[in-house]
Amino acid sequence: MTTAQKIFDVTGKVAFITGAGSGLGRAMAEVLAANGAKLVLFDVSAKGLATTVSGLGATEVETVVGDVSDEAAVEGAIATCIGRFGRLDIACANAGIADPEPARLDGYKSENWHKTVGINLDGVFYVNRAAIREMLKTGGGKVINTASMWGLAGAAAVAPLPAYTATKGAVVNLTRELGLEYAKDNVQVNAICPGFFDTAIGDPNDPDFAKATVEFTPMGRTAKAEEIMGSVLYLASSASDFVTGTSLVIDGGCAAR
Amino acid sequence: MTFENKSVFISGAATGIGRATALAFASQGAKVLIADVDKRAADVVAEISGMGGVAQFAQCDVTDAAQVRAAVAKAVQDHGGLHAAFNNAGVLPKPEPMHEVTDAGFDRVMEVDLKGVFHCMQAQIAQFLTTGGGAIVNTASVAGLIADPMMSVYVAAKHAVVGLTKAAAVEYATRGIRVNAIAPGFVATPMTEAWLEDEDFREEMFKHNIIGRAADPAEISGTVLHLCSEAASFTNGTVHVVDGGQTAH
Repeated sequence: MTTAQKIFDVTGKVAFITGAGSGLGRAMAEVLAANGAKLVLFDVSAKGLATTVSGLGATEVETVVGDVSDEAAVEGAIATCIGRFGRLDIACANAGIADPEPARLDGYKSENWHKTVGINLDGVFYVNRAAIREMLKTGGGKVINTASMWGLAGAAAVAPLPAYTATKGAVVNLTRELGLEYAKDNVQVNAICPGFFDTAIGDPNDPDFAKATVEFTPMGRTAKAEEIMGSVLYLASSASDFVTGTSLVIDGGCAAR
Repeated sequence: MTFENKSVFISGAATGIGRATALAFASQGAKVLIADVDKRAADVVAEISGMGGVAQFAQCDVTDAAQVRAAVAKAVQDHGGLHAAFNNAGVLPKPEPMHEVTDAGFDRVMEVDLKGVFHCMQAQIAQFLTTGGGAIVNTASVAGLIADPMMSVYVAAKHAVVGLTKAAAVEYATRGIRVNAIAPGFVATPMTEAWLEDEDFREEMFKHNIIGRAADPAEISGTVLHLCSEAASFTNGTVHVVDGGQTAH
C-alpha cells in the first residue's frame, strides 16, 4: 500500500453514524464500510437501518434505533458501541431535519423550533460529548458533524428556514470550538456543509423546489448522496490529521457566489 | 483513490508542499509535470522515476505567461492530456512594516503569488475547455483568510488567490471545471525554515495556535489529492483549511 493509499485508509476503525438510515448517513456508512471500518449505525427508523445494512456486504455492523434528541438513547448507543467493539474512532453526528413547516419567523411555531433545535443541535451535542469522552481514553479520534451550507448563509432566497439555519450555524461554530478544545488531544473535529443533495431532507418531490435548487447552484445540478463520500473518507482518515475546527463546503459552488 | 494515467500539472514542486504532493500523486499512478524555476525539481522527477512513476520537469517561471502555456502544453503532449492542476508556486516575503514596503517588493510578491496562479489557471482552463473539464487546486494560505502583522503584501496576494478561486469556480461551474483552494497553516518547508529556527517567532506563532506544531508537508498532500479526485465532484469554489485549528479561533 502506498503512502497516499494509507492516509485515506480506515481499516479496522470503529465508526458511529447517526441518521444512518437514509441519505447522507447511508452514504457515510457505505464509504466507511467499503474502506474497512466497523460500524454502529443509529437512526429513528428501523426500516431505514435495515435497508442501509442490506447494502453493506460483510461489514461488522451493529444497529441501534433511537432519537438523537434523547440524551439517554445516544449515551446507550455509544455504550453499545464500546460493548461490541471496545472503542470508538470515528463519530458522524449526521442526523438532522429541515424545518418541519418552513415559514418566516413571525409565523413560526414554537414546537417546530424546539423540535429542530432538539435534533439538529442537542443531538450533535450529545453525540460529540459521548464520542469525545471515548476518544480521549484511546488517544484520539475523528468527529464529523453534518452542518449545511445554510450554516454559513441565510436560506430565505430559496425557502424560509429559521430553525434550520440557526442550528446549522451553531454546529459550524461548535465544531470550531471543539476543534480548538481538543487540538492537543489528537481528536480532530470538523464539519461538512452540504448544498443541495438528492436526499429526503430536500423534498425532491416538490418540482418547484427542485427547480429552485438547480437554478441556485452554480454547477447547474444537485448532488447524488454518494458525492459526500470522498469528503467523509478524507475527514475520517489520517489524510486530515492537521485539519481541525474547519467546515468543508460541498455545494457545487453556492457559497462562492 | 487512484490517478492511474491521469496527467497532473504542479507548479512549485522542487521542495515543500509541492514536492510532497507530486510524490503522492505519482504514488497513485499520475503522470506528473513539475513546473518550477528551481532546478531541484529535477531531483523530484528522479525520485518519482526511481519508484517506477512518470514525471517530467519543465523549467518555468510562473510570472511569464508564455512559459506557463508551454509547460501546460508539454503536459498535454507528453502525458496524454491534462486532468488536474495544483498551482502551488509562491514566494514568502520577509516580514516588513507595511509603510516600508517598496513598489518593487509589492510587485514581486503579487507577480509570483497572484499573477503566477492567474497565468496557470488561464492556460489550464483553456485546455480543460477543449476536453470537457478538469480540476484545479490553488495554494492559498491561512493568510488568505486572516492577517499576520508585517506580512501585508503576502496577506493581500493570498486573499486574492481565494477570490480568483471562487471567481473561476463560479464562472466555469457548468463546464466541467472545478476550482478549489487550500489554506495551509504553518508547514515546515524550506520556505519557512528560517522562521521556525527563530525562537521568538516560534513563541509568537504558537501563542494562540493551540496545536503547537508545524505540519509536515506530507500532511497537506491528502487534501490536494482529495480535491483533485472524482471523490470531490460536488466540491467547487471552496477553501480547504489545513491549519491544525489556527483559524478556528
